[in-house]
This record gives sequence, C-alpha cells and structure tokens, in this order.
Amino acid sequence: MTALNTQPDARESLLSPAFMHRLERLDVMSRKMLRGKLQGERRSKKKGQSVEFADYRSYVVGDDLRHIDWNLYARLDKLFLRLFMEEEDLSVSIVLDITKSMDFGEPNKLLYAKRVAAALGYIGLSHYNRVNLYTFADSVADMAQGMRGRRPIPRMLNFLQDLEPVAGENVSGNLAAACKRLSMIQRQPGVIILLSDFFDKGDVAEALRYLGGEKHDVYAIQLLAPQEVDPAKGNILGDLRLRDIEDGDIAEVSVSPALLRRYKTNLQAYCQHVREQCLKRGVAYMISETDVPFETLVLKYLRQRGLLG
Amino acid sequence: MGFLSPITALIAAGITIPLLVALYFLKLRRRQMMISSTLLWKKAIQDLQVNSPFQRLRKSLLLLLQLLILGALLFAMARPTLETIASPGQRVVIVIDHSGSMNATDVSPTRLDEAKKAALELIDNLDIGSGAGASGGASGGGGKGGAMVVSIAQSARVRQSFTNDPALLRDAVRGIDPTDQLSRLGPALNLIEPFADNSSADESDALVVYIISDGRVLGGGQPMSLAGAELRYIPIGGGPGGMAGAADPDNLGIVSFSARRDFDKPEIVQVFARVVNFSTHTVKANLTLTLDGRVTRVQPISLKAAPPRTDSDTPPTNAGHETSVQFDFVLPGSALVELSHDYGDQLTSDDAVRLTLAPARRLRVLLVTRGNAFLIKGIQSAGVRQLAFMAPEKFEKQDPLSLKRGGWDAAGASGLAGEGFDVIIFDGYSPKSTPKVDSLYFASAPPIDDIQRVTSREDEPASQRVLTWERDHPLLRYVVLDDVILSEPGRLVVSPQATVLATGQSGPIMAEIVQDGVRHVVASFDVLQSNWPIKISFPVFLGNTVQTLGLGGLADDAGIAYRTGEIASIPADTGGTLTYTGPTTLNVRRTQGAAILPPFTRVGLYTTDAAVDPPFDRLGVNLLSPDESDIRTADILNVSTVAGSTTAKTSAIRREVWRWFIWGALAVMLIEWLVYTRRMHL
Repeated sequence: MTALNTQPDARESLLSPAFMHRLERLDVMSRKMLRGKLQGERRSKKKGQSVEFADYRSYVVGDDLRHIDWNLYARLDKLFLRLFMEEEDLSVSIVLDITKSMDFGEPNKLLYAKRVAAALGYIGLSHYNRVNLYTFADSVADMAQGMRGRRPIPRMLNFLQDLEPVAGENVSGNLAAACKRLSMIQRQPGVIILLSDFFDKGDVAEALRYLGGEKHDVYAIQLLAPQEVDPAKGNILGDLRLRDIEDGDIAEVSVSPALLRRYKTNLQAYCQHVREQCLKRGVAYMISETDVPFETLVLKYLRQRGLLG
Repeated sequence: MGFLSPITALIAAGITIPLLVALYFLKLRRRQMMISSTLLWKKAIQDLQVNSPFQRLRKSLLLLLQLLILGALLFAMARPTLETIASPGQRVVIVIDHSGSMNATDVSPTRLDEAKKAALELIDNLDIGSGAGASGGASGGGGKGGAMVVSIAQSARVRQSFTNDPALLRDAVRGIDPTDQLSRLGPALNLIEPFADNSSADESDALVVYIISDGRVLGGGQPMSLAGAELRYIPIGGGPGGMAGAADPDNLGIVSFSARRDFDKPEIVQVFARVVNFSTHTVKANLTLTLDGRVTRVQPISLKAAPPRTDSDTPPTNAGHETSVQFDFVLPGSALVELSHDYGDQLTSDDAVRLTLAPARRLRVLLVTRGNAFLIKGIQSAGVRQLAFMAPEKFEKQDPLSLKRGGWDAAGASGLAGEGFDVIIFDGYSPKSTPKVDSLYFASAPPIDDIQRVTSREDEPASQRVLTWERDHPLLRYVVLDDVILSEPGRLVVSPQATVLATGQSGPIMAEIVQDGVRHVVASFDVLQSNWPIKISFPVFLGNTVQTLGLGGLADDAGIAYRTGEIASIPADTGGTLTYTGPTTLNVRRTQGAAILPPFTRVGLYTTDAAVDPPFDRLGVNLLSPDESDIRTADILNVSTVAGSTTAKTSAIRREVWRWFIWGALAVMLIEWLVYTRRMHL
C-alpha cells in the first residue's frame, strides 16, 4: 500500500517566531459588520461607548442624561443625544477538515491546513478577537471555543498540533453533517474559515447552505496536494487498483493519457462547481495547492482576497 | 461446403474455446495504491465509457474477435472444401489450350486467362507428394506423384515436366502466352502417352489428364486416343457446353482470303474472301478492302445466325452461316491488300486479313537444248510467255549471273532483250557450272556433289516404269505416271539433303535439291526416250515445275500471305540477320540464300527494313481457320482412352479452402490488435 502520508512530528512547531512577528501586523477582516459579544477593537453597527462621534438623535424619556449635548441645548433649546460608535470584538471560527483524505500529499494537506489555521488563529487572538477552532470529519469532531487575547495562543497551538486525522474504517467525511452541526454550535455571528479539500461524496451545495447567509462571513479555502492536481507526480501510472483512503472504495483504472486528461478536466470542473456553490451562498472561495508556501498563502493570497488586512 | 477432418476440429474446439473464455475472465493483476478520494477517478472512467461509442459492445468486443479468430482457425483445421472443377490426383498432366480461339473475350478478360486461372486453382489443390522427385522419362511414366504442364496450339510443348514443386508448375502456367495458331490435341496426346502406365492395376496410380480448353481442337486428322489415362475436360468459354455465366459466343470471322492475277492480263487482280457468322444471331457488318492503307471498297454483308451445333459435330465442323465475296481491281505493282470487317465481336484475330500482292510478272524460261520439239511444245503449253532457246555451247559462253539478272548475249534471240530468266531447263546437257537460276534437268544433272546421274547398266531392264512418286509434291500435283514407260532411265545418286520425287525400278529417277537458295529438279531420264511426252501428265508436270520454280509461293496465288503456325522461307541473297517486326519480333540468320522464319504465333503484318524484294518485305499473317473462328465451346471431347471411346466431361470435385480461413483469421487478428491498442490509448 502506498499513501502519501508525510505528516511530520506532531510536536514540530506550526509557526516560527519570526513568522508570528510578521503576523501581528495583520488582522482578520470581515466583509460584513458583524455583531460582537464583548467590547473589542472592531467597529460595530451598534452605537456605544467609543470616543468616535457617530450621530445625534432626539432625546426620549429614559435616555442616559450623560449623553445629552448640553451645548446644543443651550443654542437650540432642545435636547439632543450624542451618539458614539461602538467597538466590538469579532468571532473568528476556523474549521479544519481532519478526514483521512486530508492526510495525503506531499506536502501534507492536514499539516498545511494546521499551519494556516495556526496563523489565522494567531492573528485573531493578537487582535482580541474571539477565536474558535473546530475540526470535523463525519460531524464536528473537536473544538476549542472562546479563546480571546494573547493568553490562549499556546492552547490554540497545542490544540492544532495534537490534531490527528480521524481513524476508523467507517469514518468518512460528511461535510454537510459537519456544517449543519457547526451552524448549531456557532450561533455567534462572525467569520468562519473553512479549510478542506472538499473531496466529499455528498452534496457540497447542501453543506454550504448551513453556513451561508447574513449571519456569518464565510471563507472556504480548498487545499489540494500537487499529486491530486497532477496524478503523474504521484506515480499514478499503469494498471492500478486505487483505494479511497477514507471509505476504502475501489476504482480499477488503466491510466492512460486520455484518462489523465479526463481526470484533470473533472478536477477543474469539480473545483469550479465548489466555487460556484460558494459564490451562490455568498461564501468567499479560494483554492491553493500545498506546494505553495503557507507563508505566501497567508501573507499574500489571503490578504489579496480580503480575509486579512 | 464439406469438411475433410471435422472431428479433429471439434476436439480442438472443445479444448480451446472454453480455455479462451476462461482466460478472458482472468482479471488483470493491478497495483494497489491509496489515494485521497476515488471521486474524480470514478467520474473520469464513467465519462470515458460514456463518450466511447458502442461501449457495451466494447466490453466483449475483444472476446468476440478472439472467438472469431479461433473459429476461423478451427474451420481451417476442419479442412473445409468446396465443390469445384479440380481434384487431387496421383500424377497429373495439365494441358492448356492457347490457340487462337482461346483469345476470345466472352469470359473476362480472355479464355486463356480463365484457363490459366483454372490451372492455377488445380495446382493449388493438387495432392502431389512432397519428397518424390521429379521424373520425366518417357519409358516409365515417372515416379509417384507430380504434375506436368503442357501447352497446345499448332504444336504441343512441355512447359514443365513432372515435378512436385507447385511453384514451378505455377510459373509454367503463368508463362503461357497467347497465340493465334490452330489447336491440335493429337500431338499433345502423343507427347503424354509414354507417361500413361496402363500396366498398373492400381487405379489410383492412373495418369489424370486435365484438358483445359474451349474444345476447338483438332486431332491432326487422326482419331484422338490416349490409352491408360483418365481424361478430364474443363471447358472454358461460352456456348452450349461452356461455363456458367459466360456470354454467348459472338464472332464474325474471315476464314478464307486469296488473290489471283488474271492469266492474260496480270494487272487485273481478283481478291476472294469467305466470311462466316458463328454468332447466335444475325450479323450485319461492312467489309472494307484497303490497298496500302487506302480504302478501296466497302461492301455490306448480312449473315444469319449459325445453326445450333449438335454433339455429332465433333470434331468441330464449320456450322456457321457464310458468304463469299470477290473484289476486282487493277494493280500492276505490289501492294498490301487488307480486308476487315467492322463488327465488334469476341475474337479479333479473324476480323482482318492481309496479304502482300506481288507485282505482275511474266515467266521467262531458257531451254538449253540441241532441239526437242516435245519439250518446247510442253513448255509453251505451260503458259510461258517468253521462251528462249540456247545451244549448250552458247550457254557455256554466258556469264551465269547475267542469266539471272539480265545482260546476257541476246544476239540471235528474237523478241528477247537480254532480261534475266526465271527458270532454265537443260535437256540432255549438264552445265559445267551450277546455274544461279532455278533449273530443271532432263538426262543431265548440275555439277554438285549431292546429286549425280548414273546411266543404266546393262543388267537393268531396258524399259522401266515409275514405281512411286510424291503425289502431294507441288511439282507432281495432278501428275499420273502409272502409264509412263521409260527406256534406260538411269538413276540418281542423291544425298540425304535431296528430296526424291520419283523412284524407278533401279532407284531414284527424279529428285529435287536446293543449294545456295537455288532449286534444282533433276530427272535422270531423257523425255525423248519415253512415252511421257504424249501423255497428258507431261505438260502438267512442266506447267507445275515452271510455275513453282519461277514463281515460288506465287505459283498459285498472286500474293504472299501466311497462316499462323506456318514457316516462311524468305529468299535472300546476302547473309546476316534478318529482322521482321510486327505483333512479335522475328530475328533469323540468312543462310544459303534464304531465311527461314520460325512458325508465326500471332496474326498481323510483319515488316522489315532490310533489303528484301517485294512482296517479302511485308508479310501478312492470318488466322484463316473456320475451326478457330468458331468460338462456341464444345461440351464434350471425344478422346478414346483404355477401352473404347469414352467422353471426357467436366468432373466436379472438392477443393480445399482452408487458406481462406487462415487469411480471415489473420485479418481479424489485425482488427483485434487495433482494437486492443486503441483501448490501451484511451
């Protein structure tokens, strides 16, 4: 049996100190004004306690007298309230696919996903956002919720480092079930970053249906190993009995140029399908191969796509 | 279709077919590999399958093709046979007719090609043993097995003696060229007869003779017989006894053609021709006469259909409806006379005939005598217009060449201006030098070693009769010598080169010899010492002799024309090679004043650039044979074999066709390979 499982030592550091230092200059951006839970560094739609003036409104009985603009009352003889912008924190949920299909490729997709998650989590925590980590296979498998501030950074990294692909013959990915479960757990509006290869034999559209909508600002990052994009790199040649690493499904193929062409066409079509479904649900989509340095992905591509800023 | 060894094939089928199917169901051993998801691979395979036409068929196409290959091989193993006109035999003689009638196009492309095809098929199916060497001795009939190829036309020719090598036999068959000659089966049977071993009791050892012909064959005047052999006749061509699918015979043939000059006015030429319709319907055509290529006369003719021929017509007889035509015209000089018809029929070699008309000429005869009134009268009665007399003494003073070419001393000869002579007759005087002109000698002989005159001895009878003479010789045609009594005729001592024309009680008394192209006819007796001059045969003989010696081949005809198969003798004074070009090219060496051309094989006009006197510069060769022009295929050949006369007819026998299945299997194998390769490169 041959599997491209090259996961390094679990204890290996996911982020280098230098890279962490570079990450501190970034912040997780949301395309939407999402309601936070606590006061934070992010402008909210609510009017609140910050020093930044927002608007005036007429006084109604019961309003806090401290917010009345007395100077204006002196000039106009009417009571007006000064309104200020509210600043709230942002919920950043990072969802990792830990099905066996992610434990594949050179570089390994799961390790790559962990590093990206670590980087995003680090950025989120550095800016006092509330960071939640979720993993899923056939449903949500594990989670680390409610991390805020720099203190839980080691916890987050440990959580990520300890992640292993879900074992068991009958455990195969079910993105729809996972997303449904996630939508029930993560009620707080926020940014959701989904890291997966999206090799799900179910319906991707149904899965995205649970995450779409106004409540969340969802980013879907599809990770593919170079061996999946070009099977020839993975020595997939000749008469083969291909076994699905997740469900043990068998495909007997005689690999020929025509078949490889057809595979690549199908891969493109599948990625396009995922992309279209994402766009349909208002989900930002991006794809990356794991041979792209994850630092480049984080520092360059995610910034270009507006997730980081 | 039948099978020679079906059991073997069935056993082989019982073993191999289940084996093939079992092998087909054995799966390919594949390398196992883990991948992240089979999702896209399965979809890719499905897409390919959906996009390939006849995908469902394709799954089992290879098996189907392999079964087809195996089936074809098993069929071949069962040795399938078809009924055909060929069979294996112990020893086989294949006689192929390549005469003029075999050029008929009622079967495509020609009958000869069809005959060669039939012969090749026959060879393909010959069960000739391998290893037994070729043998062809006339005494024993050869060893076991083997086949021989003989072609027949005017003469029979062994193309390949007995051999077990089919390649040699095929080459021999392919090497047979068409001719326009007559077809004579008799010589072929004589050629084959020594190989027929009729002493053997084993029937399987009998000689099998296949005669592939249209049946228009002649026995050479003799009843055809071949003892100890089994004859099988394979008819070629259309007609009552012909091949299925062949067209009805359709031929209009010119079977006779000649020209004569008027006896009194030689410039007037009469051309005679006979045209016969051998078709099964009425034929209308135009006969065109050309002189040196210029159309002189066109005459329409209409001939009814030939009456149906019956079996009693064999050997073939002319059964067509015929007409005779005559053309008269004035032509003193030489010309090529050609007669043709415009009816498009199946045999072209008898559609046109040609002859070379000789210039009008009068014979000039020199009689060297001391006086012989009987001889003079006889010569004059032979139609000689210019007769000169010369005493032996005066003759000896003449230059021999001037007597031939002219310029001799004509002093005292009335009405002569010294032209050359055509014939010299010596009466009781032997010249000291051999004349350069054809000569007739009475009681004398030319000074050559091959023929000498000996006077009668005393013990020989004084009066003798002529015992035998060559009645068919042109000089003695219509000459009866029964009542001729000769007094002391003497005799001739002749060499084998001489032809004895008449023999008396003491030996040859008349002979002919040709030396340096000059003919000398020598009679040992003196006509005045016999009663011959008062017999009617005397002027007849003189007429024959003067005409034959003086005119050669033009004695009977005003033109020169040959038939295919004939040998032409061309008078030629000089040596070297003489070349005639025409349908074929003929090269001969001129020796002794003449060039002897080989037998003509094709009709047409043969011309030469060499200095040859007319009419021999253009030789017309014609078919002129009602037997060959009658292209209706005979359904039976009457050839007597062992006991009485049996009729050789078509015999249907089985022909093996396993090669077809082998080729078929190879073709399917190629297709299978292509399908397999294409599948691997999807």
